[in-house]
Amino acid sequence: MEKKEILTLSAIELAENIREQKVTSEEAVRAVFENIDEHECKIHAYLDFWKEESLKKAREIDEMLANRAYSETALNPGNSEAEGLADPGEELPPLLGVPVAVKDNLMLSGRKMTCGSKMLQDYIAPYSATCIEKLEKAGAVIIGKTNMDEFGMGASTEHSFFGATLNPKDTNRVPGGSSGGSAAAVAYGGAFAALGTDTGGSIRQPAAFCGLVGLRPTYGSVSRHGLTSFASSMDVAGPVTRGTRDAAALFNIVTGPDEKDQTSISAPKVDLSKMESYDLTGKRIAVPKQLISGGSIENREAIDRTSEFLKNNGATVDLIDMPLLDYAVAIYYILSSAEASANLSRYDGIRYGYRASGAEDITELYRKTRSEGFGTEVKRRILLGNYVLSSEHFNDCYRQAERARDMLKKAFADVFSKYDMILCPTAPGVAPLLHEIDKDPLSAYIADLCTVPASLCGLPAVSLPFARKEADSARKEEDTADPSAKALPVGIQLIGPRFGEQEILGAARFLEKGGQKR
Amino acid sequence: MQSSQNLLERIARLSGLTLSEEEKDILFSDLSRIVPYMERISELDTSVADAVSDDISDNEALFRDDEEKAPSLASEIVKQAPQAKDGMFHVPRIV
Amino acid sequence: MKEFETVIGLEVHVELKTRSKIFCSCPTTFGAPPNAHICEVCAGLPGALPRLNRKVLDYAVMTSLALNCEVTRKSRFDRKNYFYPDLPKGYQISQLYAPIGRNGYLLIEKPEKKRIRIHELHMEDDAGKLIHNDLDNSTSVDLSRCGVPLLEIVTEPDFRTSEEVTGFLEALRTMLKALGVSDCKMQEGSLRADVNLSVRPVGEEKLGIRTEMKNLSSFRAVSKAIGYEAQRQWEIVRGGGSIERETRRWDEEKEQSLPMRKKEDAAEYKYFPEPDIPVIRISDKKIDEIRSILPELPDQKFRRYIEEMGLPEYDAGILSANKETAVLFEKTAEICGDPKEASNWIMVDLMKLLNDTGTLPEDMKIREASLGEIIVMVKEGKISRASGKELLKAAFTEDAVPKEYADSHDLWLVSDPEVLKVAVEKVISANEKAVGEYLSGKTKNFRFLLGQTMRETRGKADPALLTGILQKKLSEL
Repeated sequence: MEKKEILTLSAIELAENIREQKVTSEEAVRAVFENIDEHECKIHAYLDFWKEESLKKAREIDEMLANRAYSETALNPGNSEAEGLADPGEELPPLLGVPVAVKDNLMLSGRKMTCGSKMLQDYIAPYSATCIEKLEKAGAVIIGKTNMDEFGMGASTEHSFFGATLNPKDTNRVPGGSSGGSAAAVAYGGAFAALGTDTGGSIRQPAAFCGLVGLRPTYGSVSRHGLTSFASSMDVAGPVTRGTRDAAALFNIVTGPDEKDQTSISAPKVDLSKMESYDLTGKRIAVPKQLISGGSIENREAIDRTSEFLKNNGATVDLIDMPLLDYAVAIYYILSSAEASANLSRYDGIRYGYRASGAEDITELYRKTRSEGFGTEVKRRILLGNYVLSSEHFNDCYRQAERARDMLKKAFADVFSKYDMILCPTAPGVAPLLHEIDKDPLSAYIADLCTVPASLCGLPAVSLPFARKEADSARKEEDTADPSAKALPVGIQLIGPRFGEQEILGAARFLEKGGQKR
Repeated sequence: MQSSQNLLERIARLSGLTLSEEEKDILFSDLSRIVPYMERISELDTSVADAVSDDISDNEALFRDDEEKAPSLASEIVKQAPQAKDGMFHVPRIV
Repeated sequence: MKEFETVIGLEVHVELKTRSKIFCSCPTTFGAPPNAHICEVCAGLPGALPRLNRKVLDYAVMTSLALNCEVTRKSRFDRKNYFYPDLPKGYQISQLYAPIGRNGYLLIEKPEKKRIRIHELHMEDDAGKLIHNDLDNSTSVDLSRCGVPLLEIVTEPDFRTSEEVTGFLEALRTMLKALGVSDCKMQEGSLRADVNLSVRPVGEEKLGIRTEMKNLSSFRAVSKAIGYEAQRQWEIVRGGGSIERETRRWDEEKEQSLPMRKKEDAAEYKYFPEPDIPVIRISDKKIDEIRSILPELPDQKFRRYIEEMGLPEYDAGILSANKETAVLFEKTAEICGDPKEASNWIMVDLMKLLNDTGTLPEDMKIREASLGEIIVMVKEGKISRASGKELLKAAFTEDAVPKEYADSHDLWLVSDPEVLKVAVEKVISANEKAVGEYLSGKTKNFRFLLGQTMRETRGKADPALLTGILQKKLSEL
């Protein structure tokens, strides 16, 4: 198969082709590295990759497959070659030979893990995250670690100590964040799929900005063991992929309870064939008005047109009122910063990571190390976290936010007793220009409005690209303030009840197919 | 404003951070906009909420049995220390 | 008459006797080489999460029940945040808002009966060890002890004297050992008490400003420290000064309390709920289960020994005070069927052996059944009481099996009438004069003849049997 042709395959299609020996894993790895060689100097999606080791692993897989095919035909000489391969293919791991990238806040034993921070610049992971182990067990060839906002704090991947990642769709723009490296790598063909992590939208928002599918799984359905904590009660790892089927397949691989994470839980896997036959008839979909006011024209259009499409296919779509959502950003930043402030206390220059020189006593060692090792955004969050936890403000801020979060959870439970899912934008608009977000942190925080509710309530949510073509032709040029934005992807988000992955991915697949038809 | 600057310094101390003058200016102006936005939640009536909310039921199965395992990462952990002596992490004096 | 009153509350830290740490599988063995027992969890590596040891929870519930506490049905861990090199995560995982046990009490008997209220009981992880190097003015950090499970028991300020405090600590230690949750070895730090102390003029209702004293590693240190600190505070108060709220360290050598840090600097712990550990739900069923396996507690034993087994209060107090003597006593009483006799042997002979050898009851090697068997042998006349004592000593020091030891050391009394008859006849014919005098009314000669026969059997004759045979033979003359 030609390189070009290989790169058009989805991750699971590639895995199928490799299993059937129509493509070798080595060819697939070579194809992504050709893209990396071409784009990486400009995009900077990766913090680290290992070409030779990846090729070596790919060749081992190819060799194993060849031997297996040989022994199968040798054992069953009567069978045709095709039958002999189709059968053992069933038992082979689902992502065998597929080149995949992972975010650099996930532990991969023996590799650097920096979290995009000077603090962990030279840190070598001594163990592997459970989701990484599961990915490896599924046969994936992990080819590198992707760039991110420092410790996951940010929505642009500009807050990386190692420099920003650019959006492959428009290099004047950010790819979103904090999993911007994962999204950019998949978007330019530098990986067939990637793992990101999502605390307040860090998978969904970059997926939206890069025209990809990003799934934030139900909190706890993917083990956090080996995921560097940002906000423990919201962190979850999940897939950034080109399509919904890949997202479902990756979710199925990484999900599962883990004794090393006592907040992990057993969640049902997604049935891909049921996803394919998903029927919208009779489905009830809610659009909270708080999440669509104030968005861009592109956004409103995406939601309107998607609503229309859903209705045309038998669903009902209601605009609903969830007044508590006006407080979601405040609740999110109070709680996530509080948790982050404690989670980042371990970076003290004593056991690992960066250590400032010249400290005379222990207090100075802490302060110098942390002041030199953390970037501004991280410091902002740590300060905010310490503020809301300090004795004078604990009750008004932290305690109040904790209770408000409980109320928000109940409000969502109430909505899901009447509706199958929620539809809303992923972000207020298209990907911002570089350095645009930096100017005003508060506005950047407020821009998380659409993604933080699912985070606070532990709900699964998927962002998928809105089919732009029709929208573009329907819209007049003067409608949009930023002419360059019109070609950029816009994401729409489906939020489901806990363990509702099957439902939201089914609907997302339906929309994806509808989009392809148009 | 002075007292707020003092507050920032106190919070920085709690955070284990020392801020440069430049950082103080930036962070002070950021936080003086961010904090009031966050504190809007104090206007919410949360009396109906549960103080302890959790979704994970029957979590006891995930608690660990009391079985010890020989630590396998110990020497590797010490190896990555910025400064170690005789197998121990080494730090400047404690005041 | 005393012009001031001391008000004391305790925070007692108890190291739990588990095989592995509270949040990871590292061993808890005391005295490991530096940093040998560390892993990603207890050393605070990125991405590592706590995994609660079920046994710690069980022990905490057990202790809560034994201390008559209300068990919190939705308990939760909290993070206590502060920077210190022995605290790898920058926070301790403790419990503030929903501790496992609340509002309990412990009855103490010494120096007199008193109810000490328990404010709360919570679980937490221990910190690492810091070693200060004077040479280069630096500090070394050993995290092997980091994550060893602790229970913190906080009392109300119910103590007025150091005797009450030590009485409480002894009763608590006895109870915890009976529960089997801790070794309570103060010298190894598995039982540590911090003392919160304030003074006030007699008759004053309002509490004075208190100080907290740490580093008390023995009961003696606790009592000395209380005496010193109360006096120090009262002198300040009487002189018109005011007490500073602070943490003080007890210096065992100087026998002084010295200031450690002012409380206001350190008080900001920014506690908040630990998101890495789910809320712990304790069901009625769980509480019933734990209650049903709760061993009989020392004070329950104490009452039973008096009421059902008829022991004097003094004996009952000592025998019930620790698990080993209680077990030995009950087994012994069961075997010999005579609780008083069992108690006598333990109170007199065994206690002497413990004292003479400086052995702690928990280190005793004697098998539970041995003493009972010995008493039966004595009661049935198979061995003499003196041999019984010798046997007990052998059982105590070298774990000798009584019957085997009696065999190998020839302790059995001769109780074969034929053998004894021969001996009696031999003595009678060898002591014609004494026998004659006896027969003519000098009855005290009987003792002499009995002694001679005893000598003939080298002291091994069953005295009762021998007396009978001698009397019979003499009456037949």
